[in-house]
Amino acid sequence: MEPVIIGLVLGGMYALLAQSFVLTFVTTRTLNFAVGEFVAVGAFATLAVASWGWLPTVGKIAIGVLAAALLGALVYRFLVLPFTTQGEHDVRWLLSTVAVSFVLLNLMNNVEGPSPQRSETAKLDGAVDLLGVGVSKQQLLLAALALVISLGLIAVTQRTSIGLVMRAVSQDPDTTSLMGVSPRVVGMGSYAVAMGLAGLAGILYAANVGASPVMGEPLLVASIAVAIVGGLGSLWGPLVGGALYGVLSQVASYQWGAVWGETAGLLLVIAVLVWKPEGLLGRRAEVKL
Amino acid sequence: MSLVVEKAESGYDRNPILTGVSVRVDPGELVAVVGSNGAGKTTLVRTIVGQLALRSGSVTLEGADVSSLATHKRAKQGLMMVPEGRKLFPRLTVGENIALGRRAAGKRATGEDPVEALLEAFPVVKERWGQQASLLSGGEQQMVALTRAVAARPSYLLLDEPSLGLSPLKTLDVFRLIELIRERTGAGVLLVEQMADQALAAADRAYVLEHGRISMEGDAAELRASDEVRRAYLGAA
Ligand SMILES: Nc1ncnc2c1ncn2[C@@H]1O[C@H](COP(=O)(O)OP(=O)(O)O)[C@@H](O)[C@H]1O
Ligand SMILES: [Mg+2]
Repeated sequence: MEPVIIGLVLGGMYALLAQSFVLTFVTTRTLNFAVGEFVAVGAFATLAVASWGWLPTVGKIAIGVLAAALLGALVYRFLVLPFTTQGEHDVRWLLSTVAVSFVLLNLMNNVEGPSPQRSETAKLDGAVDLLGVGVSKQQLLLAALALVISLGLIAVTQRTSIGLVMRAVSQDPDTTSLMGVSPRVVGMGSYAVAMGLAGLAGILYAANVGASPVMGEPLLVASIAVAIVGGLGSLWGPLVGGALYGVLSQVASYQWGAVWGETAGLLLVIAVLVWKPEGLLGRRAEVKL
Repeated sequence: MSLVVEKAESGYDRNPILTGVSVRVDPGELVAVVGSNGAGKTTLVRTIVGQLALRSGSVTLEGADVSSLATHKRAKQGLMMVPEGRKLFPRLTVGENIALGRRAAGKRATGEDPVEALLEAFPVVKERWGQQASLLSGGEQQMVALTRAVAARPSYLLLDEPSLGLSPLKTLDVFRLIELIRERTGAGVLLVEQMADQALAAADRAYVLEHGRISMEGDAAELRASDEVRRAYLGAA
């Protein structure tokens, strides 16, 4: 039972970042490979205001989320959008987001230094007992947030008029602009939400590992894996992918040792790519005539 | 006050298509552009709405130059297109497709809703309201696409081959709907068609587009009767 519970909790944490990949992908067909650094941006922004006694914890967390969101919108506007203008096969954005990742990493290394700094703004102490397994409250909070936020996003896309626009953009961006919708605004909005989520993950994760420029990296590979397994085209994907990936890798490492945990996760990714490249919940790309 | 395209040049990458096309639509007027496959009809309407960039020339809407505006801004100013192949959002319902058209109307949505009149005359759209758009037949999809465009309260409406892929009977329905739209909305309509006979019969004025140029223009009935047009586009010997 233990590896299953721990796997679900870890999977939830990965799902939060995977959701940010899915969000930008459905609306803009791009992925931000600097997501790992946005995790750190959120953590550092909250750390910067941690000593402001008059500001309640929620406010400090909000500042971290907003900083990452704002930077995300700007990155989309100036470093992603200009590199998507040459049709479907234009993947220059891939290089530009990798460049953003390097630049942010260097900047943070210079300003904050490489070693982790204690950051306990969003720390929950203690553990709870889940079916006989002790789980730290901090990790449980991350997993619960991933679940709640994912369900919230799904409700928004299904029930609100902004959600209707998002679904339209994901199906046909050209025709959506005929409906008076600015593709640029939709893209900036989804980058803002997606990077805000990454920032939030960073703020919470920093309570465990400290804030550091490279803190997002260990989460990054797993979240990309989760996004691919679930399917980049579906907001349900990260939940399903996270649960599967988390449980499988935990069970494998419990049985055969830590190395096998990661290997099992990556084998899962390869299996999905072979049998259902669009992901378990994704939909096959429609052939355009 | 009209929709005026002046000496438009546009195309794809190293492939210029339109070479100096001038077209004009006055309010309430139905203007046809006929031309064979590959003449540049789709290129023309996509250039007018801004999906393709002008290389030179201009597009003016009610006296204002909109040549450098993005597509969504032109839409907000009342310039609507029903694209070739209809382009409904396939996994949205009929109702959701039409709701998106309403979004484009914004502040222009005043007075009687023209959509109601269309739904009354062609109840099939209303009957399909909750269905996914991709499940509709070609004719039904065209009806929905036209209704979606009308929901945006256009002052000018560009229709790219609305009869494409439809049976003669359905084509008749679509042309009746276009007439009704003109009557109810007072929009100027630019109808681009390969089906020259029907388009010329419906239109007030017309242009013939050949290899990216306007080769003839004038009164639609006169063009329809002219030997040149009959030989080239109406299959007369
Ligand atoms: N996306 C494109 N890229 C390059 N050339 C194109 C593209 N679309 C159309 N063309 C070319 O432009 C010309 C005019 O096409 P189009 O405007 O679609 O004609 P029509 O709508 O009158 O059939 C054709 O020669 C066609 O091959
Ligand atoms: Mg065409």
